[in-house]
Amino acid sequence: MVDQKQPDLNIDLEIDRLVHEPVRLKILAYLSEVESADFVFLVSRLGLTMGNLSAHISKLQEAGYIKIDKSFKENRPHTNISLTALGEDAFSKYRAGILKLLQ
Amino acid sequence: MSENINLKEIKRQVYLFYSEDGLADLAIGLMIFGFGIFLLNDLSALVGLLGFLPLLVWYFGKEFLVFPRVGSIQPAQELKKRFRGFFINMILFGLGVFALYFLNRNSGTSFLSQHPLTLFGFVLGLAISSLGMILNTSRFYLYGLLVFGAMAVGEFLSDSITAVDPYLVAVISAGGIILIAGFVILARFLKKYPVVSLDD
Repeated sequence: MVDQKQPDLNIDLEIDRLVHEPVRLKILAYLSEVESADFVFLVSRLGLTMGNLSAHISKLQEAGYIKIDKSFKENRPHTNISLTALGEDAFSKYRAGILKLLQ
Repeated sequence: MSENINLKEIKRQVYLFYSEDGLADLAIGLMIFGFGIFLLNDLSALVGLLGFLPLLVWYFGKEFLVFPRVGSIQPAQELKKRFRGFFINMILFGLGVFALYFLNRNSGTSFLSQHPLTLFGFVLGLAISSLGMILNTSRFYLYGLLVFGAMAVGEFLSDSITAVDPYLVAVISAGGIILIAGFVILARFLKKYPVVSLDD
C-alpha cells in the first residue's frame, strides 16, 4: 500500500487585516503596478467617493504603506500617492500568504 | 464597486490608461493624414510639423480631457524601460534601414531604390505595431498593417494610375480611417468617464 503524504492543514497564516480589506487591497494592487497615481485615478478605477477613498488612504498612510505628495496643478489640488517599500513588502507577503493557503 | 479582485485585470487597466482615450489614435491618424495632405498640396516643407502637432494634440488632450476624468499615473519602471527600449530600437532600426536605402539608391535595380515609399511605410507600420505591443493594444497592429499596406499598394499603383496619385489617396485614406477611429474612441471615453468632482 502506498503511503500517501497527507497535506499539512496546520498552517499558521497571519492575515494583515489592513491589506485584507477589499478596497485597500485594490488600492495597493493598483499602486503596485505604477510608480505613483493621483487621487482622481483611484477614484475613477475604484468607483468610490472622495471621502470613502480618503478614509482608506489615511489608514494605509498611518501604517506607512503609502506615501502622499500634495501639490497644486493650475490652482487645483493634486494628490499623488505611491507605495512605500513597507507597503510593497506587505502586499507581497499578503499575496504569498494567500497563495500558500490555497495550495 | 465590485468586491471581485483580479490582479491581471488591474494590470490590464493600468496599461489601458495609455490607449483607452483614443488620443494616441488621433496622434497617429493626424500624422499619417497630415503627411498625405501636405504632400498633396506641395507643402513638404511643413512635414516637420507632423512630429510636433500630434504631440500637442496628445498633450493638451491628456491635460484638459483625460486627467480631470481618470487622473494621471507615473508608469512603473518596467513600462518606462519598455518605452525606452522601443524608442531606441526604432531609431536604430530606422537609421539602419535608411542607411541601407542610401547605399542602394543609385543601384537602379534593387527593391529598395525602386520602392522607397514602401520601405518608409514598412518602418512606420512597424513602429505603430510595436507601440501596440508595448501598450497591449491590439488595434495598433491593424493600424500598422493599414499604414504599411496603404503606402505599399499606393506606390505600386503609382506606375499605372496617373489621373490622381494613388499613393497620396491611400495615405490620406489610411490616416483618415485612424483619425475617425480615434474620434469614436475619444467620444466613448468622454461618455464613459465624467469629470471627477474634487468637492465631496
